[in-house]
Amino acid sequence: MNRTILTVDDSRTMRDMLRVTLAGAGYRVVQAVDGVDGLDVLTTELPDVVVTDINMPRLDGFGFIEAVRRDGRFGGVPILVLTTESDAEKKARARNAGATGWIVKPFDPARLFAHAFETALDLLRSGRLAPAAEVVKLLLRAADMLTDLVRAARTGAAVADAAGSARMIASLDALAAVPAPAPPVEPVEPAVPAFRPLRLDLSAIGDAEPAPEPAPIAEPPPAGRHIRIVFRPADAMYAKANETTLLLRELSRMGSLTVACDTAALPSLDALEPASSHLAWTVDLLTAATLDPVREVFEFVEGDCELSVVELSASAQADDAAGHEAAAAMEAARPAYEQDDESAPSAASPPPPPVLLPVSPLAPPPAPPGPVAATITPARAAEMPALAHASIRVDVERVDRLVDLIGELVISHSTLLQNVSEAGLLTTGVAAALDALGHLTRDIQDGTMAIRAQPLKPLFQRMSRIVREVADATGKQVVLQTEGESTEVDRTVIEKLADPLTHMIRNAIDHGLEAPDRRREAGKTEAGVLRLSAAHRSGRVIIEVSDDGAGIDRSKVRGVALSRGLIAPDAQLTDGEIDNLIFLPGFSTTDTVSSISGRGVGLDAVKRAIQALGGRIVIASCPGQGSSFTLSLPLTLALLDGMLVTAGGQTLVVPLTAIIGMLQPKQANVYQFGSGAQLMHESGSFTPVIDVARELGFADRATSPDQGVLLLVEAEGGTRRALLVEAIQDQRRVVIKSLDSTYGVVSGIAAATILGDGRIALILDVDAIASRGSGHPAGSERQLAIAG
Amino acid sequence: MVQQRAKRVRNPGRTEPAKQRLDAAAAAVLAQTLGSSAEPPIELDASCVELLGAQALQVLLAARHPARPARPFSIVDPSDAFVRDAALLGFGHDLVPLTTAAR
Repeated sequence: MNRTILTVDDSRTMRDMLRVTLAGAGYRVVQAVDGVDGLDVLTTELPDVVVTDINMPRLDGFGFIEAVRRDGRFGGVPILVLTTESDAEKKARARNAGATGWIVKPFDPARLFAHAFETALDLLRSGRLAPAAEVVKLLLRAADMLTDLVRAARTGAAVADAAGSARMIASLDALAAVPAPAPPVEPVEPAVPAFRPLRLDLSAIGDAEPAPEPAPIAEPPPAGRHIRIVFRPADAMYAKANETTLLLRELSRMGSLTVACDTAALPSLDALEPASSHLAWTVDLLTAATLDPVREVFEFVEGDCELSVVELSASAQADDAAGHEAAAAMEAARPAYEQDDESAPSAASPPPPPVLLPVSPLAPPPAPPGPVAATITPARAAEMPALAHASIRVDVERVDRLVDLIGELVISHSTLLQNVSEAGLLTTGVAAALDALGHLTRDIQDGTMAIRAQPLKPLFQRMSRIVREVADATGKQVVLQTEGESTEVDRTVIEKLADPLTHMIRNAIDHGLEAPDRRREAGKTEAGVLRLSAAHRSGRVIIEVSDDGAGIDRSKVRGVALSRGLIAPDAQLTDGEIDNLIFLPGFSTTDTVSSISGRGVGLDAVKRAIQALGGRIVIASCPGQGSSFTLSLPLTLALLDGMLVTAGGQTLVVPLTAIIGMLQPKQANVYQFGSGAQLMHESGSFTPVIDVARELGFADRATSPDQGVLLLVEAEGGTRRALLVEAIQDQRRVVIKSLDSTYGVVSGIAAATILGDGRIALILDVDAIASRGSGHPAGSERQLAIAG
Repeated sequence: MVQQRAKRVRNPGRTEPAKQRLDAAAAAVLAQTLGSSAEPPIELDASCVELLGAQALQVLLAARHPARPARPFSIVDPSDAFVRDAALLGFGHDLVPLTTAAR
């Protein structure tokens, strides 16, 4: 006789796992849901081993073990504790109670989670669990968690939120425990409720007797739409685990079907790749439904199949005799829909089956074989997949090299232009030709950049998860609307955009949107709307994060700025200037620190990240109606808009995004400190001056301020510096050439570019220069501290 | 995998119980089972089938390709689900087309 094991666990998932594992090993498994239940089971069972959980409702593991040990009958029965706990104190308690051993649940957390998740999904599919809003929300969260678990399992990393996933398993188990909402019919097999319309009597199958004629349509449909669906799955559809059968099952619930399978493209078995797709279906659906719900059936496979859904005839009176005639005429006129009666020899020659096609007598009978769009001829079918997959996979390196070469082309073009004009050969004709060449070069450059471009969709999809998480954590209801997710941006930009965008979305939900009750009071819908949109505008990509929340509380922002000494008490600030205060480092209006915001990582981090990408950020806010943050980003990081300046006789490029102003100082406004440090006095504030030529070692002697130009730049953390250079040459777009691979990281220099005359110009790393300027022994701030 | 140990022998050859879910994974197994035309005819026991997927159907149809038939097979004891799914996909229980597609 099999040995019996009693398992006591409140988690259905755990019980299932134990049952499967132990029964597979040949044990007889008896189950109990908690300590009380376990004791109850023990009145009738005498197990060889007891396995119990610790944390259970009604009677926990400790109490259960004690009660079992008190009962003389089970003196020698080993009791094992199987739990997620590994606390020494609890172990000791279990031992004192009489436990024999302690096992920490050794199950793969991802598998355990997946099991609980799948159980809940199964219930949903079989209709035993209603897809209520909170159920959907829970399942979406569960899907997110499962993604994390799978990723953790793949990388071998520890699961970040083990407690959270245990809680989620408990919630999923709770879902599974909900009794079925009174099934409409007797318990049916899961996933296949009431399959009425297509009742084929096939009871005689397998016997020699002829099967009854398989009438494609068993009963007249309730009302009349004749919808034709032509459906050819692509390989990708099956690769994503979609199943044609399930789609057709879905359709069959909407009315009666006549299905014809096109096997023309099917190869013989030895040439068949089982994972590929060679069949196509033409489905005629008689239904009361409109086209939209029919299309919805295919919603999830839309991109992965060829699909046409057309209505062949308008609605009609089903009981109209003329309708029957029209139907018969239509059927007769459609040789394609002959009945193939090999399976029913007795019905080989009789007239077409009595198909009831309710066609309006007013509507002209559709010409055979129906609308062109609905027909797939073998020739067309063969060329369609080729059109649908007209893409190639290319190594990113090759594209990067092409981008580099195009950069060289741009440089050669400027070299040519410069040489021609210096030689005095720039006639109208030459100029026009060079101009055309320039346009072409730019077009090629844009085209090459487009190869590397990727749509923002995956990034936006990640944001929908962030929205769910933050909405959950803050108890707010959020509807995320995305727009323009097909907008393409260079992949280097997309990679660096994720963090700032996440931060902005957290900020918008936490600070922007109000709580549901506040929204109700304000006459808004309880669920706040968060819009994420992207678009191309004049060579840049514009990403907008907007909410319909309360807008920026300007008086509060001003108050906080005052209390932190960020603005003078008498400062006259416009609304826009107040809004921009929230970008100052360390600024936070939340009174409490939460996991979402108020951690000191403010919007200044976002602004810095966007600036590092060569982008800008703009706020628009309207009290009571919401705020919107607009990011304007370059399409690529391979090009840079820069200011060409001269310092120490060298040409340097200063990124335009860092520059906030420039001025020609008067000697009187620049004050000397100590050994060569300088401060500029301008409109009431002092700004440290950095002599770029000296800082980079181009010159030993200081540049005289009145002979140079000061570029006012804003560096990391909002620090302002005035960069002293000799002259400004030009403003232009340059191709970035990385120096890191050749020279390593050079402090103060971000990269280099090649100018039209073939000379190399270094691109200034403004942040590094600014911090070096202040940390330098001769740095001005330090001097200031000594002086002050 | 098709369960070998549960094999039942019938007169014309062998009977193999098909899997409950004839999905993509089962299609690959079926393709292997039916792959060689040199093998003796086989009976596929479809009494436990809960789902007939399009890819499994594809394999079954390809095995009866008019130009190059593979291992002969017949389907025995088709379950209700098998019959229903086959009909939904446009075929009778014996994989004979119910209607012919419009050309």
